[in-house]
Amino acid sequence: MKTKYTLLAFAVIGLASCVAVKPHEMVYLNDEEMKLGNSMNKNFEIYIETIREGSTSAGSNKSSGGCGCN
Amino acid sequence: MKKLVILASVLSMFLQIAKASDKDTTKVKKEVLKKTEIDVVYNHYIQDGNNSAVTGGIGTEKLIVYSPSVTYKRVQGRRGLSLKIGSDIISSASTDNIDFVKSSASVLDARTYSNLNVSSMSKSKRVNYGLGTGFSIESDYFSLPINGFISKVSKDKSREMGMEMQVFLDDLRWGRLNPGYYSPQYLIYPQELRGKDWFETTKRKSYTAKFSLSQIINKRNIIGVYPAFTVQSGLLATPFHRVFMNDSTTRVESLPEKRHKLALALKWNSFIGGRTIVKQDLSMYTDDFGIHSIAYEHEATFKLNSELGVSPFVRFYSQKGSRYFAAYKQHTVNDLYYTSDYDLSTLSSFKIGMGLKYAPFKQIGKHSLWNSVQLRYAYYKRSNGLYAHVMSCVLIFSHQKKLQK
Repeated sequence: MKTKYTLLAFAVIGLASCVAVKPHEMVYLNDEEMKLGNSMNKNFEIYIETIREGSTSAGSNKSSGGCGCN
Repeated sequence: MKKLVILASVLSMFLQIAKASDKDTTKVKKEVLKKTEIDVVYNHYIQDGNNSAVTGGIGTEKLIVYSPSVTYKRVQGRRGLSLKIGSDIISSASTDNIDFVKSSASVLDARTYSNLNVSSMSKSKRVNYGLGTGFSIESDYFSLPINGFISKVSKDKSREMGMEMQVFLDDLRWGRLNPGYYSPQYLIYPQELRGKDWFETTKRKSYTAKFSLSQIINKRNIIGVYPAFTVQSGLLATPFHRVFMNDSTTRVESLPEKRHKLALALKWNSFIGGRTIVKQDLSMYTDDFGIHSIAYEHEATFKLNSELGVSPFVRFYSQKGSRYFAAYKQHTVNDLYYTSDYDLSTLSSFKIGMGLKYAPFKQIGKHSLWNSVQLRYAYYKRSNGLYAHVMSCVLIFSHQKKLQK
């Protein structure tokens, strides 16, 4: 329960501290490395992790099925 | 069937919303940009360990996977298309132990897969929606994925919200790629357990709803929240996994025919100074098999110059195992569900590695570019002794042309 409240507090503080960013100020945010999605070579690592661990990450973008039973 | 009808209704709703948003009026452009990208990827995976589920939680897990793939992406105006074709060639010592015949055909397996996705953007360029499908086939597994997504960017482009529905329709019968059959035949059980049918169904269905929210915090920080909910039904056990019971009998793995999964990922990317980007990723997970987990990944990208960047990374993972797991000869004969698959055990894992990206954007011909080459290596170690090396190489080429409309 304590963890939930801590996460909620972080979320509220994070969202409250948002500031408007003008298009010409987005030079850092537009950098390829700042994208929140996973890079193509990281996707394979995530695919392996979903097989070798019992969980499936919410951030993964699994694109195909497969046994994964080896 | 009922779930498929619900899914179709949700996808139809996506398209209606997207269509409505198309009513935004903007000036018609006279030129349309046509951009094509080709991504060539090669992944290489080497693994070893001593807790194979094929041999009941003991025995070799030695495995090598060679995994090439090619993705073709095309964006023309507001419409996009992507087609991915790939193959995993798997050299596995553990699957050879299904029948204990060394150097049999089972020592080398292959998974071939393809995915096609189409997408479209509203006139205002704030709503993006799309559909996708494909297949994944190997000798003892066939998977049909269907997915649909929609996302919307806020007017000031500081926030993006999205939703994706995924369905995987899987069949675990063997024989599709095997000479003399080339069609689904039956489930493959361990050799000594082939006298009876252990399962009534051969199908597995997975339904996933994914949501996403990304928010710009300021000029240098962006966060993302990604909840996901999955329901699986059907044959969730692997038919060639052995379980040795404490009375010295052997059975085929048994797991419930329903599984609910809940996952949440939080991401935070931050640009520090003029050359360093820090990425942090916290993932949490729980399901009704009794698995609870938490993972933290930290990656820093250092831009050495405008073309070259290095990205060291580290990941920690902790998992409370499933209530259905027990080690070799630890299950009692009264257990209803049982597995000795260490992927479902209580464990922790550690990953460390480095990425290298060289992005020269070098001109090839009049309209084509060699965008980048990306190399990545990771060393993975699990608390039960399993370890792996993961290597990948990505080459990206693009072609850009303006077309008269």
